[in-house]
Amino acid sequence: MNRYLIDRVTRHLIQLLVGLVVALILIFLGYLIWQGRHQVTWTFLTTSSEVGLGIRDQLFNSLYLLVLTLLLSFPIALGSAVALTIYAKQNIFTRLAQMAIEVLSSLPSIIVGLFGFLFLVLKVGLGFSVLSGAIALTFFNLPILTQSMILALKNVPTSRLEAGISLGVSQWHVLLKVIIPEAIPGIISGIVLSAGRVFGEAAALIYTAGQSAPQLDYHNWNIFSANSFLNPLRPAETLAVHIWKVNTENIGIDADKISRGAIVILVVVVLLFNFLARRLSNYLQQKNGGR
Amino acid sequence: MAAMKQADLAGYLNFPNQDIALRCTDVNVDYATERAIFDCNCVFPKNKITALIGPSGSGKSTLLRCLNRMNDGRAQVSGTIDYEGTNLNDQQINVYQLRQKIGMLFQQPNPFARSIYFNLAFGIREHQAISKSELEQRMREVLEMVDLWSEISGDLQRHANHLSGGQQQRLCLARTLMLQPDILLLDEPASALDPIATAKIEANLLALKKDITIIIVTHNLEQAARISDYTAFFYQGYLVEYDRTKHLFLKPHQKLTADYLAGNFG
Amino acid sequence: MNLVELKSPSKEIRQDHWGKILCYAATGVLLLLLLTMMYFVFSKGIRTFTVDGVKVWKFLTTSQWEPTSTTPKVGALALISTSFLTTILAAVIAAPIAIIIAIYVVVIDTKIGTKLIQPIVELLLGIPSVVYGFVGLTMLVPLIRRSFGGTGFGILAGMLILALMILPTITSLAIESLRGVDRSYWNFAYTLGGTTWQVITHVILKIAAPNLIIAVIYGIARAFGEALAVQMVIGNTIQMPINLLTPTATLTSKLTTDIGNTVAGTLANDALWSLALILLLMSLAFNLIAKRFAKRRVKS
Repeated sequence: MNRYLIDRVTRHLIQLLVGLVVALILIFLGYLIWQGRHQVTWTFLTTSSEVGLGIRDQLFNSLYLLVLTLLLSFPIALGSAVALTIYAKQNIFTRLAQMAIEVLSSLPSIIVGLFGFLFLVLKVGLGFSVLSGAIALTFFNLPILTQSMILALKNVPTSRLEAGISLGVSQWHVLLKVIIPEAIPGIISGIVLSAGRVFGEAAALIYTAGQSAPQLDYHNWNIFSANSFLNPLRPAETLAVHIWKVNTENIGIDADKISRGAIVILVVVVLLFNFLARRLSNYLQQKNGGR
Repeated sequence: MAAMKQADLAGYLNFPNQDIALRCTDVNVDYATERAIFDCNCVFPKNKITALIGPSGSGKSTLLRCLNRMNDGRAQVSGTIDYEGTNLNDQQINVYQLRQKIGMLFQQPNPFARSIYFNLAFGIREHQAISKSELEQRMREVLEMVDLWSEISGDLQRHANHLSGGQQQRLCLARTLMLQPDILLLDEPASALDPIATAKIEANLLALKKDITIIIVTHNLEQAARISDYTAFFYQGYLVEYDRTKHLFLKPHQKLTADYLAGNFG
Repeated sequence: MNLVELKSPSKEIRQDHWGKILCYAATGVLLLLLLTMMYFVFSKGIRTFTVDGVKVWKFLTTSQWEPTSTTPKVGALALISTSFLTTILAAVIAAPIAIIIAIYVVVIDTKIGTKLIQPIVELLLGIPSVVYGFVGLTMLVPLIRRSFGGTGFGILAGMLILALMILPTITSLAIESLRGVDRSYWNFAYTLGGTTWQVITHVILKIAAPNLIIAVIYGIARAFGEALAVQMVIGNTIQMPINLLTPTATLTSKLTTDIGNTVAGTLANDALWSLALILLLMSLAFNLIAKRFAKRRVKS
């Protein structure tokens, strides 16, 4: 009969198409890593872009910004998630907050960058700096991180909270000592996932952390010194911004080599983060399934 | 439907005040959109087991949760609930202190996903400084009370998730016993358990009542008949009848009670 | 136990008090953040019309962008239409592929689908946009140049890159929406003698349609706001999008290239903030539209 033929043909067509797309994606990802394999050398990773062919300072800036961003956004995200999942009585305040999270999470990152430029760099006067960049990235990161914190907390059965409260313990201590510890795999998986996004973000940074990477002195621990690697008020071009910049401004023939190498690092780090997050959430599912 | 008045109650039960653990007077409970309990008046005698029965949605669990203020933040409770001469429904009551004295066990076993040791130590460590040896001594006592000590061969480090459902529920019981409560509230504690596990819990409760007043919500009429001394029947938010369990089951005064016990509804 | 003890304060009251304050403060920060951001972009964005006296209508319907000439003109029509065209074309390419992948994962082969296909597609989610931009710039643009002539920069390159970028977004959401269709519906259709294909087209896709539309809207929203990848391949010349192969510019690419080169308070700068305002409003609009569909689904 005709419809059985249609069924078989469409099934094979779908399989073919899916196979093709997946193959293309794998080729694309493989290419990203393969194309720059010759560039990634120890010298490349440890040379300042100011003196030679290298990305040392950009790599450090990316990591430094990542750490600062997570330090800034984690407490706010966890706090809001707790307010919205545990304390939340449905009121105007929590509804507004939920809406804010949704709106923020779909806001284009270039808007976050422009706002950071206007507010942090110019109005507050932080200039193009690590701090401006970290705060802008916090704006960018907060909605995603809060959403995954909410998810992680919701994964802990509410009966745990009731059990704790019925023992006469304060909600706050039940939270700190029972709920949050139990949500930790989910929380970490959320952090790692958002870390991947933060690490690769450029649009929010080009006008906040800036587009220049002054050569850093890694032995200078004085955070107020201009060339100290820890100075939060120095400009800090990150790896992703560097790739964008060398490709749009054509700084000479090295642009191609630099970006190829930098992309390998960027992609590998991001995929590593994703892989870790996936492993963690799988672990979580298994743990829950085994209960 | 007329709620039972204190006067009617007195007809069945004449307790001297010192034998009463909790006395509810004109208790009303309102959720955001509807009233769940209408003018409830009843007493819970000391060192007895009182069963609250009735069909789903009759308000028995709601009333139970009023008794240690677990309805705070979910429902509006009015009226007085007298506990040792104090109205525990007063906003000035320190609910944290109260809940240590009036413990609760829930429908689903809900141990913390940690070791047995953590489960038992958590509550008491929050409230008092206690030496490790004293703590472990108390753990052993409560685990023996619920017959769990030998089943886990004294291994306090065992993960609570690795216990069976019945063992988990008994661990939760032990967890509340750690605080040495006066009153124990149980919200269908055996409904998620098999008959053998249920029998063990029931045996624990019967043994515990010499020290503790027990109030248990149950769907299981046989369970109410087996273990309780007094039974209260709730229907659509009203306390319909309250009597000694034997009297209520054999000679109910209200037609509604008789219908329910006969299985005509609910 | 006596009256005094039951009414005396304890450390638990203090803990819950401060805990609540702390968490609500965090939520307050989140709210404050959005409000400040909206306020700043809004107040900057309307200056073009309130201070510089450009008519809103003129801004939206003309396409000349010469804010620094002696007779300054700012018309965003070319930028707006390029943004829309590129975005919609990207969705036209990506959405069918995404939905087919979702069908494969949810209906045709659940095991390979969830264990292999879905994770691979979702790997793309994490790839930073500059990487897409770089690939577009170094592979796609030369390829287009060789195949079709011209510079290679333009809408074609932009939409292909965007399609690749939003493919995983739409796919993930589409998979979720197909999974949301109650199994009993399809089992029922099977027992009536339907083939898999009939069950897919007559039952699953129809029930999941509102959610699939939401998935595509989120994809479009992401594409519309994407800045760097597009900016790297679109050519950055303000021109009406009459040809897929000529260089042009979108709202985001214009913002990216120019915001650092203008002086605050000038028309050139204000006009750029107006573009940012449009972008912000569109992002809100996409959110609202998606909400609308979510409501419709609940009703039906």
